[in-house]
Amino acid sequence: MSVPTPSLSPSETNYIITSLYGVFPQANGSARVNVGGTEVVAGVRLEVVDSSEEEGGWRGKVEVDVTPQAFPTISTQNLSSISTHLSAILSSHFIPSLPPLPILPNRKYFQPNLHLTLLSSSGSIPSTLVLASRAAFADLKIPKTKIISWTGDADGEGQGDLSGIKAAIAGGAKGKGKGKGKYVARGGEDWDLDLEDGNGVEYMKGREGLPVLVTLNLVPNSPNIFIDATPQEESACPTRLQLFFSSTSPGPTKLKLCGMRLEGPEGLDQGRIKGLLVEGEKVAGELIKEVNSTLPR
Amino acid sequence: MSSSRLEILNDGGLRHDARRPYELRSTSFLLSTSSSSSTSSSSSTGLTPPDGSSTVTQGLTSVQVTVFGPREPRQRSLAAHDRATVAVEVGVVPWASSGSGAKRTRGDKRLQEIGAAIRQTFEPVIMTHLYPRSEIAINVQVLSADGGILPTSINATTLALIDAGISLLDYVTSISIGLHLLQPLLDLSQPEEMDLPTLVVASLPSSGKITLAQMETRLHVDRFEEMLTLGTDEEGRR
Repeated sequence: MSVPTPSLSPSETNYIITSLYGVFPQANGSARVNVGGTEVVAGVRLEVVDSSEEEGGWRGKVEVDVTPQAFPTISTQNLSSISTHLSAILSSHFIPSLPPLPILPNRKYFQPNLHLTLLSSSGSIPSTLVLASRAAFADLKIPKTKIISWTGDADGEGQGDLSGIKAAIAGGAKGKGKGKGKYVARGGEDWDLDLEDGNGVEYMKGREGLPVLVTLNLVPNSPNIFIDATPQEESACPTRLQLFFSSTSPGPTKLKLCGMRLEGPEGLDQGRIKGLLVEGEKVAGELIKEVNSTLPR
Repeated sequence: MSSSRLEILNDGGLRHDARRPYELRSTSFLLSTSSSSSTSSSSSTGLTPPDGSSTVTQGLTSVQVTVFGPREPRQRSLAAHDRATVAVEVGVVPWASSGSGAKRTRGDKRLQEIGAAIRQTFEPVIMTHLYPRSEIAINVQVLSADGGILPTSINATTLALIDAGISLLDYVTSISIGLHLLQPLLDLSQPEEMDLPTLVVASLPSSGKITLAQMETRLHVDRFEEMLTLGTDEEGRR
């Protein structure tokens, strides 16, 4: 098991990251990220959907729009295949880490629709897309909601007027997943915005733990690796390992690997994988710490 | 009657965003705004930066335009032997219109129409005979929209073409004009655009020639001349 000697440029110095939060007030959460020459604008819009926990209708949706100015030499048709490819990467490795945003638990949810626009490209596109997605979700302000419903007497046992019985039967049917055996008259469940304290919005829980993507580019026929490739470096070293890391706790982090992709014609000696994962985790840890320290409060 | 509807013009003569009828929104014009046109010393010139770019913001409407060209046409069959062909593509971000997000962000019929209008506006103005057998590609990206996408795009395209060093006969400036009960209003925002008949005019300031006059609503012909004159005067001042 050979641990390669990486020729890394330190993440802090090679990344020219300028991210701006909240650049589009019309979106619920937005950010603009520029890494080297790759610029991505991301926005999240929340939609109210009816779904249950296991149906999964509350899962987020993502779409990547590749503008022609990012790849001026490529035809529109191929641009849309690049779009689909990048949307698929995010959809499989970033979206599953998003927690559900319930309004009425098990019935109504806020569904995040993430949209990314790639304005210019200069290497390391997937990493920048994930950074921008992360930034948009860090900026996302979710409206606080409260549940409005009425509940009858708990020891009523079905007594009371007809409307009470009707509501009790309806309440029993609705609450079948809640494991309550007795008839508790309940009805009219609805939701409304909670504007009591502050401005009625709050940041998403767990936004510090969202994934980042570290791309380890492998130099052909050599144990060396490097990160943050420019376009020429990407064409010279086509084999790369993309690792998605997320953190579950905000403290000194134990990172979890939540996605892994290998691209390129050469393939990889399986003995190297462990070492590469260790290196990738180190870089991801530094990156997460840096980015979390600049979150909007 | 609906009291929650927006008042286009209130009794004090102010519009819903406290502007006077002939007052324009605050504008900003920036050139060379594409990030890859200002690359750092580490050679990230693998991808070609655009030849010209600009970002124009009018009120809350913000449009970024990048220009590539004159360059080898992507489709040889479309190349003209004696002049350049102009190709325009328009994209919007889905949250651009506050309301429901647009379903298609690119290649939509509505966006193709806007692209065609921009192309028809600039084809007579760009000196295409100076660039035979080549293509000038204009990419319009709407970053946020609050009414007036077309006029803002035209203004941004003029600046991007100038930034790219492409020869033009003159600047092309554009504005939207609406009519509310005999009172013309300039530079409409989104709520106003949805309610009023709107005329979009693009003209060349020095000669006063009009390269685009577009309207999709109904307007009495007596009012039309007044609005057209008002628009071209306003553009001359701009």
